[in-house]
Amino acid sequence: MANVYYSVGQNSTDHSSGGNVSITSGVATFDTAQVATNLGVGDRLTYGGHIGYLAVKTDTTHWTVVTALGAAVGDHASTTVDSIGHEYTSLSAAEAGASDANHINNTSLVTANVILNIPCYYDSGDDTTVVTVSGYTTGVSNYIKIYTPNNTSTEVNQSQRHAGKTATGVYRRQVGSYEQGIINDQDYTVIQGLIVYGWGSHGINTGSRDNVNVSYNIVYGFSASGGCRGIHAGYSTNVKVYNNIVYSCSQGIGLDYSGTGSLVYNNTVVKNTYGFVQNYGVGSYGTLKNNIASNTTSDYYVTGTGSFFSVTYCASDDATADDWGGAGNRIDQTFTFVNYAGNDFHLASSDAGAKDYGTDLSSIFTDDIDGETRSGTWDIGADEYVAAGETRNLLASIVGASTTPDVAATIARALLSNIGGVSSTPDISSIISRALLANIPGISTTPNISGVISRELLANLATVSTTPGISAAIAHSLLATITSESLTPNVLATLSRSLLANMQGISLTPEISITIARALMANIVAGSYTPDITATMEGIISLIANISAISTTPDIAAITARALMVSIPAQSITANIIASITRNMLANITATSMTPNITAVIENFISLAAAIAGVTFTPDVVASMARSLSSLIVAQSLTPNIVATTARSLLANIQGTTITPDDLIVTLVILGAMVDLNIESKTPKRIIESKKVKYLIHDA
Amino acid sequence: MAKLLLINLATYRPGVNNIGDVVGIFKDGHAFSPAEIAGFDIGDMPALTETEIHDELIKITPSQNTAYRLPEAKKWVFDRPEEKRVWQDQNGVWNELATTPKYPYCLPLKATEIDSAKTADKATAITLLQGKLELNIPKFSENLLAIDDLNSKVEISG
Repeated sequence: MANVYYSVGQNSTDHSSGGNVSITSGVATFDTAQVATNLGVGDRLTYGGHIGYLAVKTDTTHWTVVTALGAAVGDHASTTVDSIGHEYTSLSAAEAGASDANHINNTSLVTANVILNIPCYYDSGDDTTVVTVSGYTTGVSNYIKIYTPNNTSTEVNQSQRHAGKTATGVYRRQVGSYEQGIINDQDYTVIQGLIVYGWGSHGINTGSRDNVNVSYNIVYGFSASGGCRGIHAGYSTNVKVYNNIVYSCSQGIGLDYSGTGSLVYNNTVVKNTYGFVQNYGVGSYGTLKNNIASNTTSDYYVTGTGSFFSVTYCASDDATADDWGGAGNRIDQTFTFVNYAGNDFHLASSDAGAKDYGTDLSSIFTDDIDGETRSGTWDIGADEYVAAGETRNLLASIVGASTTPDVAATIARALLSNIGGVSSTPDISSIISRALLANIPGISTTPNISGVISRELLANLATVSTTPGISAAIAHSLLATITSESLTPNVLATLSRSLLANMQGISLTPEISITIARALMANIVAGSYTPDITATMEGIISLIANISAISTTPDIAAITARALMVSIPAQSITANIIASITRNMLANITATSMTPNITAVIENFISLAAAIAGVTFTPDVVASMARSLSSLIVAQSLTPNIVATTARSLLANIQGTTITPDDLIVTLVILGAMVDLNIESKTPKRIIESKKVKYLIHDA
Repeated sequence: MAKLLLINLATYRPGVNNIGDVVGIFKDGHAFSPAEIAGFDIGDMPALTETEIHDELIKITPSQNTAYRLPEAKKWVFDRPEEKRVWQDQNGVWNELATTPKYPYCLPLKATEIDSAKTADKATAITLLQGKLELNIPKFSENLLAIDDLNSKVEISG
């Protein structure tokens, strides 16, 4: 039995990152990381005139690739990646096309002995085409799975699934008036992780088919008439409906003659005219466990003399949950959701209606609508309250569920006000920051998301607290987390850029800017950087570039530069890096009016020069030079232009790649000579005997 | 300004769909994938919007309903009434809807018609649609069984 994968998006545009690919034993190795957020399982890879389909992700440079029939693709030497794109641009086209000669070439999945996987992606907009799944021959081991990939380790770069509430930026099936979202007329199908919404008749209709799995979906809006259902399971046996959220429908989940084998477990059905409905009023159908129904005309409702087969561990805010007897049912409950008005039906920490009142159903599934493991005494409903999950949900809100700055800022402010208000100790700040960043890998590993969160965190520094202590603690924690999470250099650079961009964008006071800069620098010095040191230094260059762009005040420039200089001696950096840093630093100095602070900068600069030249100047000599330069600036009342010219001259020397130690020393000596021509008594003999020095001294 | 994705020989499945069945309607500018271009006909009608095409579909869409047959009038019983889905043909006759087609509409365009649709003005495109668009429900013989009870005429006596 083989798995075949054909992806669905709203376009088939090439979203590869370019580069080359080689294939060995079915594993594609890309020499350029393939990082598009909507790249994942089922996408068509074209290379060297061949076609393969991404099947299993190892990381962004390694994917298992299979043929249209699910076999391993042949070995291939390195060749250009021509494109990576979705196979279809609508779910209806994928359903109709998967059996054609270019794909399975068979309507019988049993004969072809395959599982048909149709992962659905978000590119832009919603999928608006009507989908009927039918016409295949399926079996228990040869089924059709329509789903949103959400495993960022093995399936996709960024989860394409909702985070337990409706959202944009994920795959959604939008349904037109009186249409149905997905009509399933096929045994053995799985419909998983979709958002299906619209003013249609039914959201997901399992028809009269058996062995259908409908789980992890969010379905809402189906209220065109009184018989419209979010999820409709009719005339079916062995239908599993679990971990779904259904709201704003005429009927939440409707069962029509669904046999006792139809399992309706852990669903949250809210704000519907009717909650769970057994429509045919005769006989006993449907096994309901661990469900929430709330805010309906009748939460659990049957027509005529029929009944549900069994209802246990279900809850209602009216008196209907125990109308059919059964253990563990809870009536007249008050449920507390994270944001009821905003249709976020995650259980709040304060909920007393559903939390820890369910029963263990781990023989069927073990997690909740968010994919979080259910533990302890199960909660009733689609969501299992998990404290860590709250953080994830918050971040999901910041990143995906809500793109409005207001919401993101509100959440971030709440988080940071907690840091400020509950405890200002660095430990607590650090824990919270670490928790925040620890969530980033789970939601997405893309640098963009790191940047988004960082921006939100820093944006709060301005409004929540202006105390340098707290700002510093947060910045420090962020950077500490970066080092411990072994982020890639790209992420580090992105984060640095975000931090600085934030300084620019939110009108931080100079004090806060300085504090952050100091914390950043202190972290750089304290961190035991190894191979990433180059990236770190690149980050410093970005920092400096930003500082010069955002502030012309000498204080900030000088303080930052001083911090940089302090850190440099501790690192085994190359001359090129020093040159780069110095270039940026001096560019900044020349732009400003010099103050006494500059003295310190130049002192450090001389140390730099010594480092570059590799000259074994003793500290005394260096100090002497520094004194000379200092006195030049302070005592001689030179105009800024002359100082700038001098600095530029120095810089020009440093920038030159062919500069010899002697050349550099000569320049310094000449500067010294401008103050005190009696340099022979202060300068090592080796230098004075240099021909060039003699010439210059003579010329002076 | 719309495109229709139509079943062609590559995706034709006897007993499941027909050549020309309308799989989806897309906005102009929608770029179909290589798999879709290979597996479907694409009816490109730049003169018509999605809404205008939907309007034409609605014009031929029949009324549908659920009909119930009571066991015995005005008596309480435990058995649920028998029910059928029904549809009303263009002559106003209610028929049993025994089989719901996978795709409700079919637009079996010839290659020449697909080509001409690309340059047709609005009036020509609508004429083409109205001339070629088919409803799939009546193509199933089991859907042509009239339900007499629903079609009985009221006799008006003198």
